[in-house]
Amino acid sequence: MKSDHEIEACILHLRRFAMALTRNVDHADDLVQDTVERALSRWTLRKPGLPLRPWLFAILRNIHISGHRKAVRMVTDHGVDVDHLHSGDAAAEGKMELKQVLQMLSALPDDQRMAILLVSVEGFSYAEASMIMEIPVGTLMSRLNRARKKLRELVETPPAQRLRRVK
Amino acid sequence: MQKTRPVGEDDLTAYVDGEMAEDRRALVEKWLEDHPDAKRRVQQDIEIRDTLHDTLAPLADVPLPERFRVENVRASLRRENLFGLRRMAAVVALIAIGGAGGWFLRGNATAPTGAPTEIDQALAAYRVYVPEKLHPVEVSADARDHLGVWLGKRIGSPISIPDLTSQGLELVGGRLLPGTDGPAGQLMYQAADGSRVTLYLERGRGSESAFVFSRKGKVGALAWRSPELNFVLAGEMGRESLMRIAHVIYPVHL
Repeated sequence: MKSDHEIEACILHLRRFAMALTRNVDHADDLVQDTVERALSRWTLRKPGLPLRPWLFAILRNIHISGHRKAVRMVTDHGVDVDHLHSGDAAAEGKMELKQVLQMLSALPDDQRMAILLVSVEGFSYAEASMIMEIPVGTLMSRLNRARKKLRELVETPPAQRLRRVK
Repeated sequence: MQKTRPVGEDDLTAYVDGEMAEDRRALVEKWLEDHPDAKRRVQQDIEIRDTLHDTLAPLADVPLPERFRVENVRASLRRENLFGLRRMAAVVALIAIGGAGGWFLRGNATAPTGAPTEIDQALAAYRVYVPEKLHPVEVSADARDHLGVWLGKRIGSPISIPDLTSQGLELVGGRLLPGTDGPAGQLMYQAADGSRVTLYLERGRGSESAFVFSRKGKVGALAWRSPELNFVLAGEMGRESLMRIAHVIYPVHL
């Protein structure tokens, strides 16, 4: 079917978003699986003219926040399984960077992490991101703001110091 | 030149994301020249944005895993639906044997016979509040955002209030109700001719259903379930008209 290709074109983006959101590849794959299943079962109910990519992201977000995933694996914090996450042939340097970035992101609350990922990584406009998150644009912007403030702090504070501050 | 808004926090955010009209952008750039601290901050934000993008974007540069071929997902869905149908058939048989007029949706056959369903609750509330002239709602549409947050909190599942203006329905407001199992919410909408439609919402139990239409006197009710929320749309209209409205509500609450 024609729609199959359209969906498949979005799946790797959904998966990337889910990985950065959950920092766990199994979790992310389950989330994507549930998203695609739900999208297929509601395909005919889709509002005509609603663009596919934001619609799929909105479904994924809904499943993620509702915690109603079918296959719920309790992952508290196993840390980041970067080797598993990474595409494989990338250099060790890239892995380090990915690990650092994911760790920085994990310092953000879920809603802020989602906002910054949708805008900065997935390239959604403010209008699309606020539709996906079901919030007004103003709220989205203040989430982006808070997320960036926190990320700036993390960049400015070397890890060792951060550790000491926690103690 | 007309009076322009001073540069604020939102401008700096929008600047980083390139969400800004050209003239405003020029203004912000000029302003940044005079505010080195803010300029440093914006530069840092841009660096962070680029780092996030450059580091995370390649996560999608892998071949599509087999399990995510839509064909395969569809096949696994078919297997599940078959299972669901079998379950539903069992429920139907149960009702037939019991001779009870119980109303069940797929997946939740545990309700004791005779216990009120969400459709009963929704229609009871419809009958009480729709004719009400003075206080049809508890929280009026002026406080729409508050209403959504508050009802979502009380129901125990976040909701967003559907905009039905495309269907000629203006939000009147909403109220909290007793549901079948805990708090429920009723949103009320009104058409130009004064006729009203209500949307009843209560926390879902993880199961999903198709649309189910029923009728009591003049009032039609269209019910469906998502894992997060159970919905009942009620109004003095037929199945087709309710379906049209439901299709507007549905994509919001995926």
